[in-house]
Parts: sequence; structure tokens; C-alpha cells
Amino acid sequence: MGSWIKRLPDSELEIMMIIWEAGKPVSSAYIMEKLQGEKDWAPTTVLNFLARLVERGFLKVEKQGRINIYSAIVEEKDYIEAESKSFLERLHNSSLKSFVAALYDGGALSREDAEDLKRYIDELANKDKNSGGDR
Amino acid sequence: MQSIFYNLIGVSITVSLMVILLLLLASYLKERYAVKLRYFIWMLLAVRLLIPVDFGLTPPPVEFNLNDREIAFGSSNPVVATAENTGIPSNGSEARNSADIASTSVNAGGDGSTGNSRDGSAGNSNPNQSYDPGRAAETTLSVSRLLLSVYLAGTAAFMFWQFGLYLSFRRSAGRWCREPSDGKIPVIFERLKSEEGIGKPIRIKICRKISSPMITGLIRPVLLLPHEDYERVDLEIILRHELVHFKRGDLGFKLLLICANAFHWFNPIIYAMVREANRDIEISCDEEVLKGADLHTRKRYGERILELTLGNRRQEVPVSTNFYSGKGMLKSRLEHIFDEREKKRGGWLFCAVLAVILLFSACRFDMGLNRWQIDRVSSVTAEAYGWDGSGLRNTAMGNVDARLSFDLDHDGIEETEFVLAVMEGGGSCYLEYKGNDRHTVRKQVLKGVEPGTDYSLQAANLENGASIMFLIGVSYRSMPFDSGYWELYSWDGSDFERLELKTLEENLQLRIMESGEIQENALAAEAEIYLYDRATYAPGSPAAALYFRDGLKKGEDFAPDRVYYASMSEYDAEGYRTWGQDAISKIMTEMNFISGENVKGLDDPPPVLLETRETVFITLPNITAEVRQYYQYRDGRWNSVYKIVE
Repeated sequence: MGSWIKRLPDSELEIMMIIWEAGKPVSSAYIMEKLQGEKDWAPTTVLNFLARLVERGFLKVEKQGRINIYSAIVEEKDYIEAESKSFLERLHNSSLKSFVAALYDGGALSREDAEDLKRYIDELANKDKNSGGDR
Repeated sequence: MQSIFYNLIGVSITVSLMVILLLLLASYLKERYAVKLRYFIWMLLAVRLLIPVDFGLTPPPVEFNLNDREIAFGSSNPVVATAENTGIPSNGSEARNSADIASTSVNAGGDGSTGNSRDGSAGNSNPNQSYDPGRAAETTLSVSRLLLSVYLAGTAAFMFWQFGLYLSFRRSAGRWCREPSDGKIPVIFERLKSEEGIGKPIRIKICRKISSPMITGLIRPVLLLPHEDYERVDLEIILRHELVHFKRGDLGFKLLLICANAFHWFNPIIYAMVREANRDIEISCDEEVLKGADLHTRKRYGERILELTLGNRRQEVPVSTNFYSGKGMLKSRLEHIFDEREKKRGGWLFCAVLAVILLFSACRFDMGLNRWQIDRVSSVTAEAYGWDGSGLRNTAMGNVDARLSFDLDHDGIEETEFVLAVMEGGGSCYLEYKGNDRHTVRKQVLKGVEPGTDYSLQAANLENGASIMFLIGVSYRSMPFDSGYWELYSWDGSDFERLELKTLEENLQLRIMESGEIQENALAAEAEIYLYDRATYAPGSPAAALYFRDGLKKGEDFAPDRVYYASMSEYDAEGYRTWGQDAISKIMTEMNFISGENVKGLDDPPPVLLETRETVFITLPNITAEVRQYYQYRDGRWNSVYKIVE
């Protein structure tokens, strides 16, 4: 999906994250409020970023009276997926084992394998229950 | 640097064998011992891998002593030097010789400090200069140096790759990080932290980019969660898992593993070890988190981990791409999660591995040019009968040693020794090599030889150090002409080999001539050397003509220029008529290694010659000729190159 999705600069991503998190169309005032304490951006800067995101096709803008309401066109999960598809990011996993203690650091499994393992869990749980009963 | 590298290879092999053993025993260990045991063993092995020191108490079962070679690059096109002379036929002699020739320029320019002259006649301080001056313009590169460069480049590349990817990951994940919006998360986190007894501040962030909860950052640790919609039970257990990692210093352990892997990047078994270790870090963490947990919790925990594998936001994977870290690994993890049995800690096993790893090395690796940067000729003599306090000679023979010590690597320590040890009153003699690595080679010499008064050991540095030759001598001072007995041994870096020398035995013949005949011959050839004193012996008295067979074919008469005349008494002539050739007696009186430049009369003397002095007489030792012969070492043999008769 979406090979047209380009990697966003940090500042624009910041704004997109606020919009995605809100989960609904928001005004620029809402964004400004969320940015408070995090970033020291002037309102014109924020509006500038918003305009650029609209231009990139990440946002669409609707006028509600005098206020511009922004809503996301690109969904967060699609964007993350696109970003993770880059060659470099695909390699990240190989270094994670060395520097990161993750709950699970293996690759993704196929749905079939996952189902197999799910059954395996049930099997183990039942066996333990039975043997626990014997004790 | 080189020796560190060789030690590292040795350690790599030793540890690899241990890893293989542990992998073979994996199912046994799994049944009886807690995963924690494996965890600590991996840690131990990783530390060992980073200490390139050979602690081996016993000599390793496998020893690689490879001969280095040097590659010479000419000014225009690169030339690989080829062997021009084929020294002692032994393993790798070709490589050794070519290395020898190619690297001449390095040594000629470099250390002229061949030092320690033991023998006055042997003071050739820079023996290499006479060799191949035309090579001086070339640069050389030894194979060992090349290997070392490749190794270092590989290590650096591995490090850059790993750290580069990690930094890149931090950058790309970092921009997604934000504070958790659910205020409960930091509260729960802080509570769990204090429960685990962790004082160090750890930040907790939400990062939508990642697919699994993780903790990272050795200096400023941060715990990342992919989202915050967890049920409270799940959140607690996930946070506990990461905190246990942190508390145990697993991030440091992982760094240790990556360093071990970087320094042993050439060894596939170390990759397997690191993979196993990373797996056991997880499993033993699970083990600790779930200590005393009920079945329900265990099941829930397993399910949460399983959820992570689906890569919820990533593309669905049709087939598991990485079977090891994927299904198989997860399956064994799940198995452990449900394994509630109490298991032994196996402290003794840990100690056993520790002891084996520290005290034994499975392999020692060395690669050297095998070149002896020592004097051309060295010699030492030991008197078998010492002198007592009052200046009298001892009547009983003691044990004596004739010792030659060499400082081969020019570090000021003479770490290599060759010893001629004489024991049991001369009844048993040994030639010994004592290397700097406690390595000893011993060979019995002078078997069945009459004990003498002096024992000498001489060493000749041949072929510019590519091989070394020993001359062992016993001399009998009270015997006529101070006769003696000698044996020749070559040393090829691992063993002594006896060499035979053809002396005058076969190539000397005697013939009686009348004095008139002598004069005729003398006129015919000017090269003759006269021992015959015409004034003493009137014409008509018999004379002996000594001639050497070399240069003569069978059946051919002797050539006049090969004939040396000696006068004979009637008694000698009588003896000759009676015994024929058996009337000739030859006694070896001297055998020495000498520097080629000390021999006059040779156009192009080799650096080292073997000189023999033999006294020849007929019947009675009154009239004698001394025959001096010079031998040059070539093609694995000493060949006579020059003779002087006096």
C-alpha cells in the first residue's frame, strides 16, 4: 500500500502524531495546545507545517466557519508500515538483539505459525493443569 | 599485535568447542538445570572470548604452526616470489624459502642488531646484506600482516554495522517517542521499579513505531511501549519483564556479546553462541518474572508474547522468514514459560566450565616467518672434567651442558635455548630445544660414542635464517692429534634430524710412486702441492701420492692436478705393500662451522661453510698431511666445495 507515502520530517511527523492520536478532525488551536510544553513553535510555523501536510496529501482541510479543521487522510498504521519498509529500517531488527532488551525481538510470524503456537499454549496449559491435579 | 591475534584465534577455537559441547548437551541441561546456568555460562564464555591470553596449563592437543610467507611487490607489476632453493624437505619449506628471499630487503634495512657474538670468528653482524641487493627497492607484505589487516577491518566493519544500525534505529524510533498520555502508566511503573529495588531513573515512553515493548540505552535507559492500551495485569507483567532485564544488566550483557561477536566475526560458532545467549537471556528473564506465578498468569504471558509476533502493524508475513528466531525459538520459550519445575542451579557445572576455559586451550595458533635472526655461527664448549678448587682436574666426569640461547624476537630476552646435555658420564647425551612456549623437543645424540673431554655445540644459521644446523662435537684431548667425533643435526622448527657427511672416507686414495715419476708429473702440472721433500729423500726412495677421487670417473686414472705428494719412509712403504689402501689412516681433528668470508680461495663464498680438518698418515703418524675440506649446504646436503692439503 501507498508507495507514494514519503518519509515525513520530524516536525511534520510531530503534528501528524497529534492528529492521529486525537482520532478525530482537529483545529489548529487544538494542535497548538497539545504542542505546549513540547515545542516552542510560533502559530505561523504550525500553520505552515499544516499547509505542507495538506500539500503532501496527508491531511485534508475543511472550513467550519472561520476555523480550519484538519483530518488525516493517511492512517497512522499505513504510514508506519511505509516508513518501516525502507531498506535501512528493515535492517534495524538485526541490530536490535544486540542493544535492546525486548519482550519479543524475533521476526513476525505467519498467521499459520501463530495459530500453531496458540494451540501449543493451550496444550501446555492443559497438560500443566492435569499434572497439577495429579499432584 | 600479531601474537594477540594468534591467541585470539586459539581462544576462539577453544570456546567454540565448549559451545559445541554445550549445544550437544542442550536437552540434558534443559531438563535438569535452570536456564540461569546457561545464561551465566554464556556470559563467562563471552568474557573469555575478549581476553586473548593463552592460560593453557597443558600443551594444546592441536597446534598450528603455519609458515608465513611474504609477497613482494615490484615497482611495476606485483611479483610473488618463488622458491629458489629447496632447503630441507619438510612441510612448508617452500613457503619458508620464498618468504626468506622476498623479505630480505626488510631485514637489510631494518635491524642490524643481530647482536650477541658468541664466537669470535663469527662476527658477521649483518648477514643479510650479501643477499640479493637488487630486492631492496621492493616493498613486501607478509601473509600474517595481510591476515591481521583483514581481521581488523572485519572487526571494525562489524562494529560500525551494528552501532550504525542501532543509532539509525534510535533516530527513527526516537521521533515517534512521546510521553504516555495515560497518567496511570508512570505510576504503575514507578511502583514496580521500587518493588524491584531499582533506584536509577528510567524514562518510560510510548513509541508507536516499535512492535514490542523494549528497554534500551545503557547510559540513559528508556523503556518503550508500542502503545498504551494494556490491561493492567498485562502492563504489569510486561513492565516487570523489562525491569528484570534492566536489573540484571542484560543490556550490558548484550553489549558484551556484541563485542565478543565483533572480535570473533570470522567464527560462525560464535554467531550461534550469541544467538543462543540472546535467547537464554529472554528465557531466563521469563523464568524470573514468572517465579511462583500461577498457570493462568503463565498462559496470559505466553499469549501476550504470541500477539507480538503477529507484527500487528507490519505487513503480514506469508512464511516465517527467520525460522530460528521465529517459530522454533518462540516454541522453546513457551515451553519454558509453562515449565514450573524446580531445577538445579548447577554451580559445579559452571565452575567446571570456568576451570576448563581458563586452564586449557584446545588450540594454539602461530604463524611466523620461522626465521632466525641470529649470528651466522655460534658455538659453545663445555669441559666434561671440571677443575676442583685446588686447580686439579676432576677425575670423575660430571653432567655438563653446552647451551646456546637465542633472542629470536629481539626483545632482549633469550627465550629459545638449544642444549647439548651430557649425562651419566657421557653415556647418554641429548640435544634439546626449549622454546619460549614451554615447548620442548629432545633427541638422543652421540649414541655409543666414547665419552670425551670436551663437548661442543655449534649452530649455523643457514639460508638467512630459514633453517638452522647443529654440530655436536666430542673431543678427546689425550688422543693423538686431538682427535674427535662430530655429528650434524638440522632443526626444522619442530624436530632434529641427523645428517650424514661424506668426509674423506671414500674419496681419498693412495698410490706408491717412484721419485722419478713424481718429478715427471710435477713438471706436467703446476698446481701440485708438494709435501715431498726432495732434499731429504734421495731419488729412488719411495713416495706416496695422495689423490682424491672426486672429479674422476671410475677406471679413469688420476689427473695430475688432483695429486698431492707425500714422502714416505721405508716403513710406510712396507706398510702400504702389506695392507694396500688400508694403510692409510685418517683422523678427524676438527669440524667447525665457519663464516664464508674467512675462507680464502673461494670466489663466491657462501655465508656459512662447514670446515673439516683431517689428518692423513700412512702406517705411522710421523709424516702427515692435513686435508682441510669446506662444505657448503645446498639442496639438503653438505657438499664439498673446496679442499686444501698441507
